[in-house]
Amino acid sequence: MPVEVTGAIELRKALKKYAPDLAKESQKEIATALKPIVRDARGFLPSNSEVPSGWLKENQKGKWQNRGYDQATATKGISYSTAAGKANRQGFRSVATIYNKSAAGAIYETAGRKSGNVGQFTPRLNGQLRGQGQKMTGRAIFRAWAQDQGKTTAAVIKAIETINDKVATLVKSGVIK
Amino acid sequence: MAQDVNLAVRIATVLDAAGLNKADKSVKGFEKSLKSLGKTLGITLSATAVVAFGKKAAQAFIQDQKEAQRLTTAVKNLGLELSAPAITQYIDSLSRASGVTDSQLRPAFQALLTTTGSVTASQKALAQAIDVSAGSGVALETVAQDLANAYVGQTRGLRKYNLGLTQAELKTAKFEDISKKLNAQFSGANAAYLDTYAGKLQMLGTAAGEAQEKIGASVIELAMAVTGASDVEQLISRIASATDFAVARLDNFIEGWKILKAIINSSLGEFKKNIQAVQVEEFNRRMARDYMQAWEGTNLPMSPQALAQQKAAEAAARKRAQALAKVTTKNTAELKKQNALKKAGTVFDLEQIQLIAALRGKLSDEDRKRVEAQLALLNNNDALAQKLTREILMAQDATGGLYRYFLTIGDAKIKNPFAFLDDWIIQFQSKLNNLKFPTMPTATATAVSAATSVSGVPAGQPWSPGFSMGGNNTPGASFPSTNVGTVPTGNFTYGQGNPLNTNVYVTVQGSVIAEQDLTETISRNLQNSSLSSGKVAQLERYSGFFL
Repeated sequence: MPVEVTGAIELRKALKKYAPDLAKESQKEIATALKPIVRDARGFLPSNSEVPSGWLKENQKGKWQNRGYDQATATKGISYSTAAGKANRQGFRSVATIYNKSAAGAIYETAGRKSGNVGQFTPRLNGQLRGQGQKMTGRAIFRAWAQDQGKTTAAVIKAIETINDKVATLVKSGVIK
Repeated sequence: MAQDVNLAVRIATVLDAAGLNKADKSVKGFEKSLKSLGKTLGITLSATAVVAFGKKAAQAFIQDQKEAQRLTTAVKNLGLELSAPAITQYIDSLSRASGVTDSQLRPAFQALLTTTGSVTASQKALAQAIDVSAGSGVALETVAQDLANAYVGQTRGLRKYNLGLTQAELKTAKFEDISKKLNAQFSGANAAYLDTYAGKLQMLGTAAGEAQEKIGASVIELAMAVTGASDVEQLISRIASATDFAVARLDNFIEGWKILKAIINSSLGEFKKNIQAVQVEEFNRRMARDYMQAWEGTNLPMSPQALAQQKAAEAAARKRAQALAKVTTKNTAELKKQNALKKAGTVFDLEQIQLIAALRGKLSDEDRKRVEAQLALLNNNDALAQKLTREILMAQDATGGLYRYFLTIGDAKIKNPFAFLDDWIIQFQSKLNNLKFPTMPTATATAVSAATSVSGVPAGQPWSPGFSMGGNNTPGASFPSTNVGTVPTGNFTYGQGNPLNTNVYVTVQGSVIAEQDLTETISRNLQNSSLSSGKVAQLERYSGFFL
């Protein structure tokens, strides 16, 4: 369930303009909150010997070369961003994002979440599909997110509030005019 | 970077309406500029709108024509065919003047015309109906129908116009009086209404509607001119043909495209097979099209493989049908057998055992034959049953009359060969019933005053009880039960004994005359008989004289 925070974007814009150091600090604090999830998610990725050999990147040719699995590539693909995201069609932007951007990582993440654990490929992935709803279910980042039980969201919000308090203090003290 | 990734967990979302507002603003601005452009160019309708308007106009015209045709038919049926153009013209001018659409006026006028039968009276009533409708707010068609009803004396519908007439007055009022009342109450209502803004708008709407109908007529005429159709039916047919043509071309294109795809995806040697598969698939798909109706029931030429497959399928179906027929026959036979066994078992249990047991006992020859015949019948041994029946009947009637009688009643397979005997015995019994029994001397009977009850004799049958009195008859004593002989009564069936041996018991109750009285009576009768006068005489011994 997405948590809506009002004024976070404006706060960030204000920080960038009036207190760049504080802006950096806020990014770091949010990043600190996100890192455990990313670490866990990377940990859920299988090693090259654990995936079906036919899916390995080294055995792929042509367009499948980019879709073939390589643990290093998949691990790199899982990361986070503290930059505000692009607004979606409903106008919502996210303050922070954890993503899985590699093709192989995405396949590992989502295989079988719609059609089930069937066929020749999905059952051999051996990961656990975890999460709520079809779109928030997966084997890596969504599993880590489900395990986290909202602690990261709370941490991110707390970080924003801390920065907000700091800004308020600075404004009160006259450092920021 | 992160914002472009689909697979992401987005944390702490924020509503940023800036972009949306911007987009909304842009759309509105674009709309505004488009409108101003339209105004500048004097174009307010897009091509789609023009087409839609044309379609609507054509529909309005078609509807209008339908209604007009209905009225024309009604006018024609009333024998006023020559007045039809004048009526159409009147409706048009009335519509323009009153602001009421012709689609409202036509049914109202039709209702009035069919009732009154007069064009002038209907026109007058319609004008009045328009005023009443405007003044009362009741729909014109309803008002017209009410007026039409009032014209033929049904004034019930006029109550809603509150004419100030009682129910009795309304019932007895003439149409002229009602018309006057309505005029007094509603005259000029429509003109007053048309003076209002709403009335003017209505007139404008009516005029626009009429214009639309006229444009619709032009659209259809244009379409007819373009297609070269002489009437609307032909136009529809040509439109259908043109549509079919276009659909067929598109289908050809689709088929060609699929064949091309099949060629590209096929390996060497599979071209023919794959192309044929596409052709078959397309043929089946296109069979739903109107232009393919002529091809219904036509089979596509088949490849040798397909023919072989079809043959094999047919052979398999035939084999299956034969197997099914065999199984059905077997089942039927089995069922019959089971039924027969069941029946035989039941019969054996209930009847056959009894018969066999009877045969084991001591029976007369005739009875034995009967039992044997019944057993033969149970076992469907017709020949034996017939033979035994003949023997039984011949034993009963050696002349063969009984057997001939049996043959005349036909069915040798009847279940009870002795059923006919019932008839024969009944006939015989009725003959016995008709036999007269000898009557007893009345001399003794007259002296008996007794209540007599006879058992075994049908009521109302004439018979005289023959009984003899014993010497011990004393006054006041009851008669003993007396065997009076054989009286055949009722329906006798075979095996219940010989009717000639039937016993009937008569019980006579009451007192009998004393011996002395009897002697006196006899002597008095003898004296009477000895008198020459023949008169009834009384002999008085004690007085010593004769009367």
